[in-house]
Amino acid sequence: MNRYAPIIMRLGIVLGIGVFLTIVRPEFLTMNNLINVARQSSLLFLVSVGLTITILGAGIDLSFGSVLTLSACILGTLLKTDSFFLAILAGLAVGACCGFVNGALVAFIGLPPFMATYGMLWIAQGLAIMFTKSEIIYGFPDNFRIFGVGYLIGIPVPIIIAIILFGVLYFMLIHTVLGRHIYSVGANLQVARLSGIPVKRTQIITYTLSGFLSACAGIVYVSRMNAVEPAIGDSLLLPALGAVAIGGVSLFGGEGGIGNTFMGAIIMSFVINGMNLIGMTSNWQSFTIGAMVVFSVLIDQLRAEKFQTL
Amino acid sequence: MQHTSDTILEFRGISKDFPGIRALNNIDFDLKKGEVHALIGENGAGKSTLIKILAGVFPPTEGQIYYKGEKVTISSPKEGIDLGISVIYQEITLVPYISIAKNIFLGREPHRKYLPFIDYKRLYRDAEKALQKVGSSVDPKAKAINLGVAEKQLVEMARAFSVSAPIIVMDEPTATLTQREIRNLFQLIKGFKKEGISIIYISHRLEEIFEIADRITVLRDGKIVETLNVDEVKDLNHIIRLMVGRNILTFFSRNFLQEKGAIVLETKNLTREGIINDVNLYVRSGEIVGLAGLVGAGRTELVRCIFGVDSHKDGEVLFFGNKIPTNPVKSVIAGIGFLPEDRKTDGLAMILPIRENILMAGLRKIFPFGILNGRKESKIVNQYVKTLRIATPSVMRIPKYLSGGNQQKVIVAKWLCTQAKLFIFDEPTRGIDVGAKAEIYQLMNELVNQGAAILMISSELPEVLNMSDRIYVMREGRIVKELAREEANQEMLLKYAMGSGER
Amino acid sequence: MNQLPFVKTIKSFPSAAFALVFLLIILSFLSDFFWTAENFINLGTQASVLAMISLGMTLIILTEGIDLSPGALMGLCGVVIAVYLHKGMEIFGVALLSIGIGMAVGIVNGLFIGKFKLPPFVVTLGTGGMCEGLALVIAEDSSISGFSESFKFIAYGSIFNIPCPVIILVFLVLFTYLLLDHTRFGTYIYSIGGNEEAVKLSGVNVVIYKILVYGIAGGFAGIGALVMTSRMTAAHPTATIGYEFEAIVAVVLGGTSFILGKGNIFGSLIGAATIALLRNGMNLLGVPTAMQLACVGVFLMLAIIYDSIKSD
Repeated sequence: MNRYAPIIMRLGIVLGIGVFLTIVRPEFLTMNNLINVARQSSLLFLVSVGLTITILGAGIDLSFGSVLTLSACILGTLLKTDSFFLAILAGLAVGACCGFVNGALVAFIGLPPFMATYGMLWIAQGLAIMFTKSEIIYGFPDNFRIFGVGYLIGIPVPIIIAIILFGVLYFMLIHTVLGRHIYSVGANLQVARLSGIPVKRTQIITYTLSGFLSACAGIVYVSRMNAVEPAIGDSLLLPALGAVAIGGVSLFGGEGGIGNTFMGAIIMSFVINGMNLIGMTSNWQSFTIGAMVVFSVLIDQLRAEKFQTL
Repeated sequence: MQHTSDTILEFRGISKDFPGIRALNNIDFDLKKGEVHALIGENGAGKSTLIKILAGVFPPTEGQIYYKGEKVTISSPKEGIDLGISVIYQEITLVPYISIAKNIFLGREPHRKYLPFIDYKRLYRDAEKALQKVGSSVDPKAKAINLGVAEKQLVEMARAFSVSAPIIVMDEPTATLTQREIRNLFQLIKGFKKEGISIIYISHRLEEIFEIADRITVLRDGKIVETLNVDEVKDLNHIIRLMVGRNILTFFSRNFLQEKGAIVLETKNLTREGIINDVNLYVRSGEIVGLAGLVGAGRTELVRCIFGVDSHKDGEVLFFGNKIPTNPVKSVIAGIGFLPEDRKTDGLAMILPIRENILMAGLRKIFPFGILNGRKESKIVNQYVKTLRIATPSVMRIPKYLSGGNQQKVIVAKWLCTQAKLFIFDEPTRGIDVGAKAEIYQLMNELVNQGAAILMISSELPEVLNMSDRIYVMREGRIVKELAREEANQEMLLKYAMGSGER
Repeated sequence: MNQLPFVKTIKSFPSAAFALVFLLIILSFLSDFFWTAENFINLGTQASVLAMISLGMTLIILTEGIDLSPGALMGLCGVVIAVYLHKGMEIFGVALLSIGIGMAVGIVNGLFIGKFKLPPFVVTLGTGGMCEGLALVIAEDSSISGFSESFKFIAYGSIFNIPCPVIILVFLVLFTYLLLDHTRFGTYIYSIGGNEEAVKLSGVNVVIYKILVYGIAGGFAGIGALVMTSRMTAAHPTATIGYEFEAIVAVVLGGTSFILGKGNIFGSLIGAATIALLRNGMNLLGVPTAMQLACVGVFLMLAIIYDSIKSD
């Protein structure tokens, strides 16, 4: 079974959608639009990486949007006090802490991941709003704005960050012992335990990492929009789930990788871009994204069932 | 085999195949009305396969089933129940938070004439009747969760009775009962017989069988050895010989080392409440120690305690003389490998490629800095594939399509990667064909000849006798006998395992 | 160990009951406005709607599932109600429509979860998103208001001095109670959560029951939407997003367990009352909504942890 087959297939899908869109709306293929899509994809990718890792480990992190929001709020507040490094550090630390709590709940208390992270979703959201007193913070120093709107050798920084993260996480998942452990736990927890893999430790690291990565995405978001408000993370859950599921990462764990999410993010962004070009309202877009999530999970399950009966 | 008007159930020529193995071979079995027919045989003889076919869990590969003289097919558990076959499994299937009455009538709740509501009056009344019939004094309105095991079993019997099942199958009914509860059960069974209900009684306890059964069928290796009336049985040994008398393994013999090495594993007073009791054993480098006993004797539970998956209440586990904390992570680091009984769910991650499975346990030892090296991984994997002769076109495939023997080799390779010094095999050749068995034995032989120690759980007596330097027999959570291979034979092992003559 | 009957009864109360009493006492001290008729009417309506959703959620959680779509579903139903009211449809027709849509979405959920065995949280998240999108499309991003006076009766009216929402709730409670405790359906719901294997072995078609459970919950959401829309005299497509969160907390607080097949609707009702009370109290004290939800979130965590530890 070729590991790369699903990714190549999705590359085909991407090309197919691209061709279709170009025919229907030729403005798709303009440089401007393509860079836009690229930026969208990288943002979506950034947001989805943490989720990918928890799903690979046969868990889920429903709280990543709120954790992103919370760390962004803390980041924004501290930035206004001119402490650049402290702000970034604090933001990342907050994300990691939330992730750690999630991991502890799953590993030590044994809560089902969706339940633990669902609770965290609301708690982090609430904390974020409390922290900012529901106000918008805006106007950040120039040196910070580079993350969101800057260019490095002609390429938008968010795309560079996405590429770097891709590289780092790919390396972690495929070339480190930790990465293999995550896959093993996701594939079959009992087998992993019986093979001497430290399951609890792996789970905690997974969730902490997810929180940390959400905070990273938060940095880029804040920088891009030059403003922070507690509603940032609201609409991220479904598109990110969509990116992961459509990309071919199995919700049951152990199958797929960062490359899949990358492809999924591109597909989602193509579809969203297409919907924009056609003039579909954002509400129909929400509907479509919801439907895409449900159907890709359905297809994943049918494929898994077929596998069982072979 | 006589077919009289008394015969309620008949199996003719029933065979059942699983991939690579013929679990049942041309079984002719009949059950008379109002008789208690005992089914005995070793582990893996085919008893549970036979029962599952009867219960409708899966169909036979060949053969026909006749019920009350007519040919039937039982294609689902529901059909089995509808026919009137009630199976009381060892694992009780009751729903904890609904009333006992509802448990008894699950799926058949009586309801009022024209409304969709449950008729509680009738429900409790019928439940009370059924419970009284089986001699249970539990309150039908109480929730099932608070019952003891014996009481739960009685509820299951009440359920079987309430369906007016003409055939009741009992799988090891007395395993967890006290003497008094066993007496009650036998009274109940005698009462059922009078009403014309037939009972298939599976048990290892020969004295009980002699007391309660009318006929005995002995199964061995998926075939019927003999069906006889209870009064035709001369003595215990007669039965045991029927259960066991097969050829000793001739296709493989070990070279046994004269000199054994240091003690690798030792347990002292290992106890886990209600499961294993005061177990003392040791394994030396260069030897294979066999753990014989019946299913439920506690062997798997014992090794799970040793490996650290389950915790133990009392006692210690010593590895090379040092007390080790029992958890799987530490055990693997120390050098213990565990090859579980159920390869497909506990031994291999089916969705990961063979390569990952082989490397899973050993990664931390092979790459102490945490960074992997693809080339080194491939080298190690290919080396084991070659030396163990794992037959697969590619290591990137998933293990699902490998034969049982090759799957086991993958798991052995997994532990070789960790440089394990002690290998715990739980049923090493279950579900593996003869040719591959020889290969696995060869592997085990080489392992110990190179200094490893092996603790082997096996229910195949010839295997135990052929491969072990020493044998421990377990029964009901204790070690009841230690034997050197020269002293042991099949009858002896079975006798100690079943505890005949020691009650 | 024989416990006094009195002690045993107390122990069987869900933790929510104590929380409820505690809150009642505390809040009467903290706010002057608390014990007023106006506040209680307010509270009553809010609690009723939450209770309705919690009833459906109880059924779902009993079967080891979860539903993250009721909030968005209520928004969708509300918007449809508003549109058709404007078109001149009668209350009765609108009510049927709302319940119908609710049940339809619920059945879709049930199909994916029961028949295709997809994980409930993903499915209901997805369908919730779809409902939200649809609601916004129909309402064209704004709220719809301006209903006839007669429609306000549902939320503000009363029969024999009992507020309508309470009457509706009572009917739903009666329905659910009869369903759970007096029909085979109810027995199977408990059994699926307690020991699904046993139910299957008894020949029961588990899939159908799972589908129906989600369908019923969807129908309840439709009824809740009726009351909600009447109360606000406007349909806000996204006002109720996240409502299911409070319902889930209410159910868990009320003693229904995710894994054991144990629980009952009265616990959920007490839980709903507690949560509604909590929100009401925090509103009176001027606590911002977000912090309220964060508190509820903490409640949820504690309740689940307690549940987990208790069942070990």
